[in-house]
Amino acid sequence: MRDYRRRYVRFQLHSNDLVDEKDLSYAFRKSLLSIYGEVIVADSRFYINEFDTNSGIGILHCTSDTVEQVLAAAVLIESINGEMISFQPLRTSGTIKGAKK
Amino acid sequence: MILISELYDLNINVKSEDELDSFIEMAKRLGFHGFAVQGVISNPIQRRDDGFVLLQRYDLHRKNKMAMRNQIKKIRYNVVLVSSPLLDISLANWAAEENRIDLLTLVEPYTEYKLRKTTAKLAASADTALEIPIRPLLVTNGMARARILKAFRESVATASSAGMPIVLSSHADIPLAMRSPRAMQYIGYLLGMDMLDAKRSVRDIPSSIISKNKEKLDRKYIVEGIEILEGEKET
Repeated sequence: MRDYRRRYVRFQLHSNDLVDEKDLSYAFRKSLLSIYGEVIVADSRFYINEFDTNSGIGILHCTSDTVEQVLAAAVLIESINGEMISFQPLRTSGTIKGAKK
Repeated sequence: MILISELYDLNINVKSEDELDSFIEMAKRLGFHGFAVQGVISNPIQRRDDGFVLLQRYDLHRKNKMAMRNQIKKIRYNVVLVSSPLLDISLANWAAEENRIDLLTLVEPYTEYKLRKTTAKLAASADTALEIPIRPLLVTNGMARARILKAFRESVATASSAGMPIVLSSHADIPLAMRSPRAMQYIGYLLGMDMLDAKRSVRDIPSSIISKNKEKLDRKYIVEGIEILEGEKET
């Protein structure tokens, strides 16, 4: 039995240049840490499930209790490695399949 | 006819006409049907061939009531949106009650000028909305952002408890500083709104302000509920 409810969020990352998945993941965590602190970073169980560098489309995972905080932190990211970005959440679901619809 | 469900960013900081296309392209990718700019376009409303709508807004910048009144007289029929900066209390209270002003905008220094209860109550009765620019939250971090967050969250709480409508706009000066309507909802959440109120601040309220003001631009419009109707000619 799962001890938390999962959320998968399909998103689109807009940028003029390609952004690496590792850099993106680091930027998400850093922003979440800055805005909501270590407890939320720990509780969020955040990770990037998949990310297509070329299209900028990806799916992130977090808990249902922290999805608003994770997305608020992601929206606030202005740039990654000096490259301006705009994070756009597209669809939230409890399953990867649902997020991809 | 502008539909209620259309999505608008009420403040995009476009410097020249050459920049417009890149902003429009980005806005369309993010799901907007239009946005408001100051200057740059010649008409109050400009609908492009692709259906995208550009709206003219005007930010009042005078420091006293008389000068602001004169400014409004000159521009009201030439713009869709009129915004007044949220400055000192007497000016803010006057602007909140003034029916020709649509938005009270939080301006720099953000930590100095906050929305007061009295202003919020006056604004709520006149249906004037509090406009919160999200750009300052993107370009700052650490303590600087914490101070802005504190000021914005306090203003949101004051507006909400008084029943004053709140609008979130990007104030983007480059296309990648724009955020999608759904992304802006999460900034509303960060500012202390629940997700439903945040959704209204990004979707319903901007759309309803524009819809109402479009009617006001019609020369037959007198005041809310009263307009000149043309009767049939007697034969």
